[in-house]
Amino acid sequence: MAMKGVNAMKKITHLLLVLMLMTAVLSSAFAVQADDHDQNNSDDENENHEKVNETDDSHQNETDHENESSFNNETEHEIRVMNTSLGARIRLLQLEKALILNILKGNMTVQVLKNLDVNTTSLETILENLTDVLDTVRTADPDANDSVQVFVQLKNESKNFTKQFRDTLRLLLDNETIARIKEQLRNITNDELQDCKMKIRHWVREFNRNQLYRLFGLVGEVNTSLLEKYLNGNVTLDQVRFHLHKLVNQMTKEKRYMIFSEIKEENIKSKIHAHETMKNMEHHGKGHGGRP
Amino acid sequence: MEKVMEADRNMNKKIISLLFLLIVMISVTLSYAYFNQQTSSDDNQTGSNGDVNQNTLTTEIDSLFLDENQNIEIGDMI
Repeated sequence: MAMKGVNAMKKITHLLLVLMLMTAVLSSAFAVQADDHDQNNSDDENENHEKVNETDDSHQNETDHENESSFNNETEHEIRVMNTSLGARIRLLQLEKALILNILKGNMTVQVLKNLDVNTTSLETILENLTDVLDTVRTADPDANDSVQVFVQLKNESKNFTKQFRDTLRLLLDNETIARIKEQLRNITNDELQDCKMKIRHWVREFNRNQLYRLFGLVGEVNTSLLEKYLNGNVTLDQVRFHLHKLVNQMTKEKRYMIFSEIKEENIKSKIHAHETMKNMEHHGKGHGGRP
Repeated sequence: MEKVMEADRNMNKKIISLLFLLIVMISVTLSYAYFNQQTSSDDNQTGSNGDVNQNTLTTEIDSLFLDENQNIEIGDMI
């Protein structure tokens, strides 16, 4: 009888041991998952620049930092295509367009202020600086080795002068008048701006045509007439892309994987290259405006 | 004799309860392992049969093109 009791106790002890072991395994598994989740969350926060709830004192600094970080990330994204002279040309033209628009708005604002008998000397000085930056952008060589550095510096200068103009204007006018002028200048345009837009459209189509040509080459069916139609504006990029996706979907999974690997590899390379360029520029103090 | 039988029954009940608990724990562990495996395979852009996820491929291809209307953000003047 005593033997039976001892055996039963042994069974219970074994079961308890196994249970403890299972609990330990489960706890550690959940702990690892929680840790991964936390890390992913912090990565996501960095990538998406989501605003965190901080105290009121640090909120402004936090917002400035977020804006700066978002600006740098945008720039990093923009310079990815600048490894070719065509990509560099497009980015410089896009910067030119942004500057033309801001100078145009700035000039119109100065005119409005003059009519209101407001002293506009400081604003005009900033506009002259912006015009200097625009001239430098126009003379920048997209084929030069340092075109990326030049682009980043000029973009930073443009951003700084624009902010300077905006801050100065806020000291001169009340919010209501600023809002009224802003509304008036909403759809402002001129020939220079239109001309710049046309150039951008032309070079972007050229760039996309090259990309499509390469992709169709990978698929093994280059449709040059379709690409010419796209270049001339007879078909849209979406239509060509739709045709390309249809071809890709008809391929074997091995071939599809090969294409995916090739594109992915290229995207990762350009991402890393852009990131390193930005890092190097930050190290050498060229990433925040100011000419070399 | 009756007391001994009663003690045996109690012991068996305990063993069955522990076994039941053990089965529950094992089920939880297995479900967790299965769920985790599924999540990581979702993260890997390819399906279990080695095929490329359609959306991933489309996204990668689309990222190669530039938008004609894209603007460079330098901020607003006003």
